[in-house]
Amino acid sequence: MNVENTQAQMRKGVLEYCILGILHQGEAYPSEILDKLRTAQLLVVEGTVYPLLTRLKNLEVLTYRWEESTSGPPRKYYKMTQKGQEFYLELARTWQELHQAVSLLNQISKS
Amino acid sequence: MNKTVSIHIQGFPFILEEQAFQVLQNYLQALTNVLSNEPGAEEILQDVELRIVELLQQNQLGASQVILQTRIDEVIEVLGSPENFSDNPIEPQAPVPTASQDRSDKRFFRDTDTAILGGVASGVAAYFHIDVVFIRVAFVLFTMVFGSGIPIYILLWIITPSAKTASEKLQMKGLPVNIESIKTEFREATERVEKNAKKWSNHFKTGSGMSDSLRRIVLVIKKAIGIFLVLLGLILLIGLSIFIFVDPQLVPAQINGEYTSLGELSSLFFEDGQNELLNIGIGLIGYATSLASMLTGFRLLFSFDANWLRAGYFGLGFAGICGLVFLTYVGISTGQSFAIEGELSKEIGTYAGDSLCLNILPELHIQNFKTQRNATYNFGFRPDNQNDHGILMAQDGRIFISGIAINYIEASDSLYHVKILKKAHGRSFFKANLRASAIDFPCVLQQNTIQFASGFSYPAKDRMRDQEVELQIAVPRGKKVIWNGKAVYPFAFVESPERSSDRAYVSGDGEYSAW
Repeated sequence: MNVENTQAQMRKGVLEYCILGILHQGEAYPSEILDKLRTAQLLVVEGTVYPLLTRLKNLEVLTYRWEESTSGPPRKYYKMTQKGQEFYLELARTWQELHQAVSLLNQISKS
Repeated sequence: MNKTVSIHIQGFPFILEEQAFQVLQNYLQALTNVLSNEPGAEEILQDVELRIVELLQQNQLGASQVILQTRIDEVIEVLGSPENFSDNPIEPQAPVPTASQDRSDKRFFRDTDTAILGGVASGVAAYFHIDVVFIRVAFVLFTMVFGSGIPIYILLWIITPSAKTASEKLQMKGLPVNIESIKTEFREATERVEKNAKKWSNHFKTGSGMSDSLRRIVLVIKKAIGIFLVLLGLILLIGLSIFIFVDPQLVPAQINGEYTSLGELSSLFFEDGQNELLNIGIGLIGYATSLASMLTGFRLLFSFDANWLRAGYFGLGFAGICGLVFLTYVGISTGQSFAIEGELSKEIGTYAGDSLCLNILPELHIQNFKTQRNATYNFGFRPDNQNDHGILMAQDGRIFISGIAINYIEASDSLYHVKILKKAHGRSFFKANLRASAIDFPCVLQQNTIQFASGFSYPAKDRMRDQEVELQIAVPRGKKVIWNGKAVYPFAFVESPERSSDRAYVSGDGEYSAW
């Protein structure tokens, strides 16, 4: 196990939550999602995102619709389903708990 | 100056430099492999292709602009190496692919890029990371020493797939399938193509040169091996057909007064059913071998390739293996019927005199033969050459064996005791003893003379199971046995006193000889 690998694993772990976070705010197509993730410095390579989107779609967490684009290939606009909303809220709570747990641990070990 | 390839991705046209196209194709192939277990693989690939279109359209001046390999490399870098697409955790990777790394992902493929025949040797060499020359030499040695190289090669050829895609070629060498290694593989492939192209262009330009003459020698050797294999297969085929369907009478043994064929001889040895199985087994092996040899020869001669070839080799291999199974079964079963020795004995009489005479009647046990062979033909002519029986005789359902063993022991009283021992082998004591009891050995003790045949016979349905007859003569101390007017036992009575043996042998023509 090297640092890079662990980092990649951690990023991969939260990637699902982050994608859902982006889609929680509204529809988006993959390139948009990728741009946002890249801006947030969460993304190393794009390859990880596509299988994740398809998997979430197959789990009925997401749906999509096609839309023609004036400047390139047609775009797949992803949207969260009702089930997805619940799924996201679950994840959000877990994230909060994790975040608190980690900060708490850090405080304890400092003092 | 470079060639270009015109393609479309999800319906969007692009013009790519040939190398760029190859890299992109390999990348997509690698993705397909990585995603092969994923339920939505096609959809993911479609998404990725659309993304590639998007990325390629960025910073592009127009559809007519040629996309170079560097651009494709950039796109692949953005998308990430194939293993990123997999759901499995990312395996830690060695920074530089080397031969010593984890071999678990390694598979054995035939390497058709550097093949002479089917690429088996090249594949083995690639798998173990050694020079292919050693493997080829090993195959040739195996073929010369045990003759086993050719079947091993053909078997490997049939069962091993050839490495076709870049990732299979990497697996064959045990290298990890990632972008770097695919690029390396591709570069090597390009160099190979260029080298071959140069070789061919040289060939057309000058018509000579070192590599060309070498190639021609290889070609000549290939054709020579081809011709040899075709001829070998043909001879085997014809020979086998003659033996199976004509069954020539070449064996110097008489059955029903004629020389014997191998088929007739084996029917005296193998039981019903097993004899047929044996013939089928030999036929399967022989025909499969000869056809495979001819097929391989024709392939070498005319370098053709067809879809049915592998199925054909597989079929022939299967037939050969079936034949081998049959032979093994017959062999084991026949071996078992030799497992146990049975021995029956009977004392036929005693004699109280001072000397016992042996009267050997060579023709006694082949009475049936005699009447037939002594028939008088037209004008009173009679056949000559009465004693030419060959090594074995069989007639009218009986097998006639020449030769009787005599064993002398010391009598416990003052009488001669004459005993007949009959021996045979079988699957069980009962069967062995049944065979032994079926042996017919004409032998009588009259007054001072034992009259006996120089051989014995038994029913052919018993098959040849090492049947033997031994005459055991118990001689009282100080008494002797006489044959042909001479004392043959004990040897103290003859001129060479040091030669003393308790055993003797009577051959088919009635000659007595001490062991």
